[in-house]
Amino acid sequence: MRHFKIILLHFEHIVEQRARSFVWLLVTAINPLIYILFWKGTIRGAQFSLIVTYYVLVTIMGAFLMSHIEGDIAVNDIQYGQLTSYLVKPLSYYWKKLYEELPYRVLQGFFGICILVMLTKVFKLSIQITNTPNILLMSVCVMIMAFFIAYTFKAVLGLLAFWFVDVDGLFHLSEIIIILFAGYIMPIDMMPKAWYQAAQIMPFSSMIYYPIIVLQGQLNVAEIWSVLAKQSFWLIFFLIIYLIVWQRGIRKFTALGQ
Amino acid sequence: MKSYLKIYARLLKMNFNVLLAYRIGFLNSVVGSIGWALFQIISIYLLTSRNTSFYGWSREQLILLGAIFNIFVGIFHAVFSRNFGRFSQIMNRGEFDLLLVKPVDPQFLTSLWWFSYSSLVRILIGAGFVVYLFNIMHMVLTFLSVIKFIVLIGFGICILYAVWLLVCTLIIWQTNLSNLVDFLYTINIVIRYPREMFQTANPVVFYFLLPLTFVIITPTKALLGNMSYVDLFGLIFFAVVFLFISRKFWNFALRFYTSASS
Repeated sequence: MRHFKIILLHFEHIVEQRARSFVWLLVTAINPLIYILFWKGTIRGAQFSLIVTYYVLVTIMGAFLMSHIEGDIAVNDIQYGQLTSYLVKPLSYYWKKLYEELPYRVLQGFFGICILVMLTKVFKLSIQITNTPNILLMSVCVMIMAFFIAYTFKAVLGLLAFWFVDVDGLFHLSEIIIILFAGYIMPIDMMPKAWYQAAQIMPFSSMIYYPIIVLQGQLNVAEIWSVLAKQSFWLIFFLIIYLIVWQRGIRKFTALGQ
Repeated sequence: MKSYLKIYARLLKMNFNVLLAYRIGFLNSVVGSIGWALFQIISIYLLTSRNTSFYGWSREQLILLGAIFNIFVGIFHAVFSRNFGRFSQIMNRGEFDLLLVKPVDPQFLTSLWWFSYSSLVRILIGAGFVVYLFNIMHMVLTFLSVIKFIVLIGFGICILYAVWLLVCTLIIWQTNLSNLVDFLYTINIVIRYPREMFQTANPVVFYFLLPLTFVIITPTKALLGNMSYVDLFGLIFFAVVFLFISRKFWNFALRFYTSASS
């Protein structure tokens, strides 16, 4: 109950700034819409419908699942010293930041769904999503895992500010790699073979690509279990890295003030 | 005009001193610029990996468009982007007062105060790719076509600057909308795709985006030697009209600026 109240408090704060959240959603939505136009010139029929669904879901999943906590951690908490206030609270930093991030994802995801409904009604787009109950349920699990992987990865990135004064370049590079390999540009199975294999090895496809194709019903139950296993591996991996980085980084942290 | 050039030269010098003071920050920005420059090329390479022609443009021509986008955006980010990025901050904290009381046009100061030297790397990468792609396509860059290209890029920058100014001026009313600049960064991407692509979209969307489709398409066509009068006059027309409107809108919005302090 205590945790729920904390989330609600943050949610109130986010709703105050709903215009900002809406602009963020537009930022997420523009690229997929451009890619849809791009493919319109080359793909026809059922395959085009699948691609449209994919990019619309990229917008929603991007809003729902992709955390952007790294800048807040690096700049506000570590560089400006706001981390001090978290250290005296009886709740771990990981969960506290997650509770701050969660309302953003919910609100932007909600805007995303509104856009999905608008697009399907106004532009008569056909969106293909699985209607098999057990796959739908499993896709929710894949999404939850994807959110935690993205959140933990971004938190680790932000914590690197313990060691580096300027982390902007690193953030830019990570953003580029995520866009390339998470499936933002195109479904990774449509990429050239070498790129596809690289995307399979890296954790980023677990953040966006797999939640989408599972929801589209492109994978069977056995394949979804293997996706969940892969996601579990990456989540545990990033959690271990997070703990190491946090424990070592916090020793370097100093803050001034009264 | 002469005094403004003098001020700008001073600003460039000041920015260079900042660069020397924060060398690691500069290196960091260079890494980011190189990353985004390569990303523009790679993303087009990936998108075109299954087909050789899109909307009448060959794969090489689309990658060329991506390379020219790098040159264009390199110039724009070097001169303007960072300034628009701090728009929200100076409005929100009342720092704009300090610019208003100076005997210089506030639009000049807010638009040109910072210069990002690290973005120049992107111009070099873009130019390198342009030369490489012209070699691959067995085409020759003539002196005249390069001059035409540079002049037309200037008009393109006028359009994009005006669009950014129009949108950022809204921050005078909504000072907490700092992420409008991120929205503009995303909108920039529209300019690197062929105009024909947007013709397939909803007419409202197409006419809304139409001015942006001239920004680098016209200079690219000039380099390729297939620029039409529609491309040329469209670019000049939108540059003049948008600059005029954005200036008027800016002056109108200034009346509504309220300082953050007493």
